[in-house]
Amino acid sequence: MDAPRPAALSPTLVTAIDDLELAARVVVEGLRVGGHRSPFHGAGAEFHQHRLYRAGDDLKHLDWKVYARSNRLYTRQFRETTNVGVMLVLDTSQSMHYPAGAVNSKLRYAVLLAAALAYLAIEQGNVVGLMTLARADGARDATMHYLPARSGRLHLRALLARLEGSAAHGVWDPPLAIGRAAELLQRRGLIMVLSDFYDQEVETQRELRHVVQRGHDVAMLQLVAGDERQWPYTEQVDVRDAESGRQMLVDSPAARERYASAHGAFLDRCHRFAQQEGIDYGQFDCDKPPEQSLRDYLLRRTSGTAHAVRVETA
Amino acid sequence: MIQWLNPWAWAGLGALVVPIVVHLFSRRPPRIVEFPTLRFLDASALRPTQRSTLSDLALLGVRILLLAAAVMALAQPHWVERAAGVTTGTTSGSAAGKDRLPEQAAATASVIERRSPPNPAYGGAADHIAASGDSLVLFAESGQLRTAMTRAVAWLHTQAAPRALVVHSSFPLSALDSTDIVALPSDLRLTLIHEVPSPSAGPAAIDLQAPRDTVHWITALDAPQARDVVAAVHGLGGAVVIRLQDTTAFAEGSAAMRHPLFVGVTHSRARRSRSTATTTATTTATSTASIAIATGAATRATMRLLAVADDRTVRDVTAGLPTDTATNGMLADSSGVALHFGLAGRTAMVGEVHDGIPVVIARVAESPMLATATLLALSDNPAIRSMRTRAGIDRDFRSATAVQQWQPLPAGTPIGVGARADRHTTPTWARWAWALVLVLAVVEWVMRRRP
Repeated sequence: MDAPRPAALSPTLVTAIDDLELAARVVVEGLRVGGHRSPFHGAGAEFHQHRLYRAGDDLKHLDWKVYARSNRLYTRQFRETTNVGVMLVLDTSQSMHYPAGAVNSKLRYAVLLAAALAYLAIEQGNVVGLMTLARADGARDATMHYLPARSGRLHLRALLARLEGSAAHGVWDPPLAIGRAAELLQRRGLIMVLSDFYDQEVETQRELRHVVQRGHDVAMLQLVAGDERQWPYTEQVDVRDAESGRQMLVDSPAARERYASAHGAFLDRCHRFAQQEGIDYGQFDCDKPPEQSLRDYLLRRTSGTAHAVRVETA
Repeated sequence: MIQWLNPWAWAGLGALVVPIVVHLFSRRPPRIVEFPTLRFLDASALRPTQRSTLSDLALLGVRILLLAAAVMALAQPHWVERAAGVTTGTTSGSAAGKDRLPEQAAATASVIERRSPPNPAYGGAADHIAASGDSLVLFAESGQLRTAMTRAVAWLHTQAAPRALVVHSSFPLSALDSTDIVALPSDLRLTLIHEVPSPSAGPAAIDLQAPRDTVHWITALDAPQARDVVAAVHGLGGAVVIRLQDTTAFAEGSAAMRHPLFVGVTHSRARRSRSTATTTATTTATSTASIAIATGAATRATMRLLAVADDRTVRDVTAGLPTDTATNGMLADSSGVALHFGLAGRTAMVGEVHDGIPVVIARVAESPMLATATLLALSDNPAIRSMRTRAGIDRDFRSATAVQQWQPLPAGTPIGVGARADRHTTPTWARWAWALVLVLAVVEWVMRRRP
């Protein structure tokens, strides 16, 4: 049973907080009200809890006694004794700078989520790294910003400073960024990708699949601005692609319905892909309070419902 | 029935083309907006310019309404109550027309009787027309005024001189203009009686300057008064011009008349009652009042009137006036009676009109001759009556029995005898139309400012 939730801070309020550390703390404090457990689980000697079995779990952790009693597969989890490596992969492409000028743009929201996750992870003794990758439009080489996964308050400060300084520009190469992040994490860990996943859908999915196959735990945190679900214009507009700069004349009344269905189908596709591949998936609406969205996401993640669904469908 | 005082203003509806053209040709280039991705969008099949959308059509509608309301306001709509029992005459001069003469005459008489039962003055007028046979009363409806006049003149042309035409109408704008009047035969005695829509509307707004000296305007406060006036004029064989302004009046006459006379109604009731308390029945004197007779056509006629009057009051007044050789000469020319009087400093005259309402003449400083004429024309004073008798113009045109004495017109077919003038409402509709224009202008402004 959930504890009664406090009144959520408005997304514009939280995202408008200049001090990212403070904002992250606000979000994390919001998470704690529910009294949930750490979302970052490792392997260790001390039994922590049971979780529904999901494909790929080590069979040695299956609790056969529980299976004998309930005819259900549960994996035993142990309180971590070693640190989990968390790599945050942040999409800083121009498409994330939407709605342009708003304090709760997708990028700002993603930065806040990343900061809160980093804050939470480091506070629980994990190591956290950051990877952003952007390529100026037309440039051949991408600029990669990488902060290796470490722990400690000093590292958190550095990470938050890096997050604070991230600005949306150019395009990004998701397969490259995700692949590099997985490589640089060195050992198995958690790779959290914060993006709108608009670019290179097929390649991105392929790379995510590879990363999962390499044994990493992967989370897709998909950001959706409120204006993106429905076509926000009513008249005929000349639409310019934020990243490619390509322009297209759109007759809004005619395009509205088709846009909504195409966008909805895309989101469904992303969700389905994540379910199929055992990837943790969270959709974040930038119009909702970040601490509430993050809390819902983490609760779902720790309870493993996403994976339970996958097991049943499998 | 709705009528338009200025129907030509409807030509302004042509201006509706302007907003339509503006809407057809005003194409804005589409707004450029930045969006995260184009992958969910289809390119528009439209041309890369913007035709008016539905919201623009609403704006167009408001603009068209705005213009239409403005045009309607300019056309000056007003409500006209049609009088009952309209009879239209015929213009037939054939034998068949002659055969129908008695029925026509009877019908006309009944129309007149039905039209104004409480006002016997009409009967007098009709009686006079029937007796003298030298004029035609034409009660034309506003919408057909020009046609009715043309027909009346055509009929009059077949009659022997002298001929007279009396038009009683509210004279809506564009119903008649000076060219119509100029086109009339010069020997035709023309009297136009302008009926003001309602007393609250004040003096008549239309002030057509008569282009000929035989044209006379009568502007009465209301229809009964106007009818009284025209009845009196016909009874006396003269023509008048009266412009009543509130409770006072201004008169002008023509020396070409056989019996020039000025007829009018003066004074408010309050003033009358006050004067009753301070004056005797037939004569009095107040040192402050004066008769100011200006020189000109009106003066001449007034003096002639005074000259023929045998009333003691008039005599007293005129005898006291200083001699003026110029006017004396005129008076001698017209009546053969030498009178010596001049200007200013004279006393008031008090008389009694047929209702028993006393009239203080000298109170009307600006047009004493008018009040005098009223008194003389309408007074029951025996002396004045006998004066009218001597002039051969004494006629009891206030008797209701006069209607019974109607006779067929002496020759030809009566035409243009119809119902009384339409009664107009106060023209507030135009004001409402302008208010509508204002409201629509605000709506248009708001719609235009809308993003």
